[in-house]
Amino acid sequence: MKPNKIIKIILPVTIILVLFMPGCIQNPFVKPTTQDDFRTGSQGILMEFLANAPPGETYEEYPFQIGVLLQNTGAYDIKNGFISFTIEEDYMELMNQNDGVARFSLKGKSVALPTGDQLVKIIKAKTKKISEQSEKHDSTILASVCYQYQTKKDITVCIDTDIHNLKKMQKVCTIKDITLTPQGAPVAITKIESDMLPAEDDNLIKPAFKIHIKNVGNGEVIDKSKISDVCSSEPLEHRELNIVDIKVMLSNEKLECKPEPLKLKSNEDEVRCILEKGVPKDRATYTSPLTIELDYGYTYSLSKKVTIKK
Amino acid sequence: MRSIILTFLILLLFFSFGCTQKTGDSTDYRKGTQGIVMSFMADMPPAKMYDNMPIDLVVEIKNKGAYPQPTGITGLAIITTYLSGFDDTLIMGMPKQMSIPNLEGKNPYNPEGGYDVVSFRGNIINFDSRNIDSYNANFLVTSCYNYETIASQTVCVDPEPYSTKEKTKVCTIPPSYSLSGGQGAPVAVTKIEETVLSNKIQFKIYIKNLGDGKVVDKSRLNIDCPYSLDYTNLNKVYVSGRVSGYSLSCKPANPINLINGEGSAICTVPKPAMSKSAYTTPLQVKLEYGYSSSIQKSVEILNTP
Repeated sequence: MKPNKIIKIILPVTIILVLFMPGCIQNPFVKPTTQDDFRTGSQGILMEFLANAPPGETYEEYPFQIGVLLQNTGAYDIKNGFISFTIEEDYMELMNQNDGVARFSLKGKSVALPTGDQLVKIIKAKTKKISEQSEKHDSTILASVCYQYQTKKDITVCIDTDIHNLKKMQKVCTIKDITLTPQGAPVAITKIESDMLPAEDDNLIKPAFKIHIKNVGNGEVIDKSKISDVCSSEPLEHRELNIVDIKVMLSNEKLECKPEPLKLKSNEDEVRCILEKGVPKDRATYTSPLTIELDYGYTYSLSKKVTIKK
Repeated sequence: MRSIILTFLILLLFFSFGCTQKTGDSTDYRKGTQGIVMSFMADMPPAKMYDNMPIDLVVEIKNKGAYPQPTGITGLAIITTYLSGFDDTLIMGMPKQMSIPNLEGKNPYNPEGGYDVVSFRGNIINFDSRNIDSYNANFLVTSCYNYETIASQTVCVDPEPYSTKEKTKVCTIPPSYSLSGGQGAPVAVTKIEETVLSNKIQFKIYIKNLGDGKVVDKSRLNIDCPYSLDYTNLNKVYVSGRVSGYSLSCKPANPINLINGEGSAICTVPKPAMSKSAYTTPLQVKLEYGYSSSIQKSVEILNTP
């Protein structure tokens, strides 16, 4: 093929490509990132032992390291968390007794820190002598984190001031149930059911919401004021488990929620919230933000078996 | 030879433009099924916005119907636009209603009809103060206005349609007069049936809402529209008209009710006493009503990262 002929073919193809390609390139300004984009996933703190710390096998009377990597994969900043290490004291000992419980702070995912913060905690320990009759002994090391966390979701809901469709005005929205995916925290709001209830005053309606809540993480929900007790092996009473504090706002009005605080049964439950003040019926149907905040304590443990050889 | 043909063709092309018939002046402005038409101006507001900034909602309003006419014989189309659908504690300072005193309809001097713009300006509050990440605001703009339809149809007035005498008639009464395409208004006369009775001529006038809005009782327009519309004030049309110098006497009494957007009225005029032969004459029907239509736009407002 002659060079002129090649140019004649390539040139139009290039022009067409240049013309049509910009349509395929995504405009980076179309979808700005907000804090809401980081409220995904069902974990708060993710914890894992470092490789060979502790080792799978070691020898008696031998020093070793216990190391854990903590990562805040949720969207809430932990300010005063606890990490504790539990060992079989007959077979191991911590080199520094104060290392048993330590405090930590970890920032959650945000626009400034999209992956969430992480930290490595390493402590030194030493194996003790195993019994004369044994060739080896399997011992378990337990690492636990206890922290206060928050689940937050704001969602635009429909406030229908004409539930029976008596007014013939076009509505901007209709009431519907909203199913949600986890919000970057171990306790999730799974569903919101909306309802407009009649009020004693016939000129008002009361927006009401049934909010379904579930522990979707792999740990336990605890009373947020008892997190230090859990990680310091203080006895925890049954009533201090599965406690979730709830705050629900409709625009700038606080809703009355029952029960408050909520005690999760079988890791899930529901709370009913109502705007007692009501909304005037003569107002047109409108949308409004419903902001739900769940505050709770959370604990999660991880264990690793260490074989102590003679 | 080729250059002669080419020159001839070019000249032919130039002059042929002069032979094209100008159609602009012959446009029938009393055609169509639209009245007041609203639309959001592009990107006013945009689909995505941030908090803590002003928001402008600009609505273009066009009168695509034929009422009112600039002559001043007809009344005024007073248009009020109402804004609703959003949380006014988050978007503050937006006016809830705005009026346009009068917007002329299509006419021979303004074949496109009147045009105006209303602007709603407010401020989005700082979402941090409410701990909100995002909010989907819905803006519903509803117009309420009075309107009129003028339908003109040449009818055949035959005082003796059943006469056995052999006479040459200029016209005969058809089974019905069909009026298609509307009369430059959202409510239209779609059909007229004429019947000659012993002492009067009866016209059954069929009416239909051909627009995309709601017909409102004009007497309740300023009171109930748009927030208190119900079956008591919707679908009411006032019918009147004239033929051969007589005013139509219509039943049921005004206003007549539209059911599923349709209705009819039976109107009569006395049979002309002087004339024994058939003749054609214009029948003019006037419909008066209020009208309401809405447009909606969603805006996602994000907390500034």
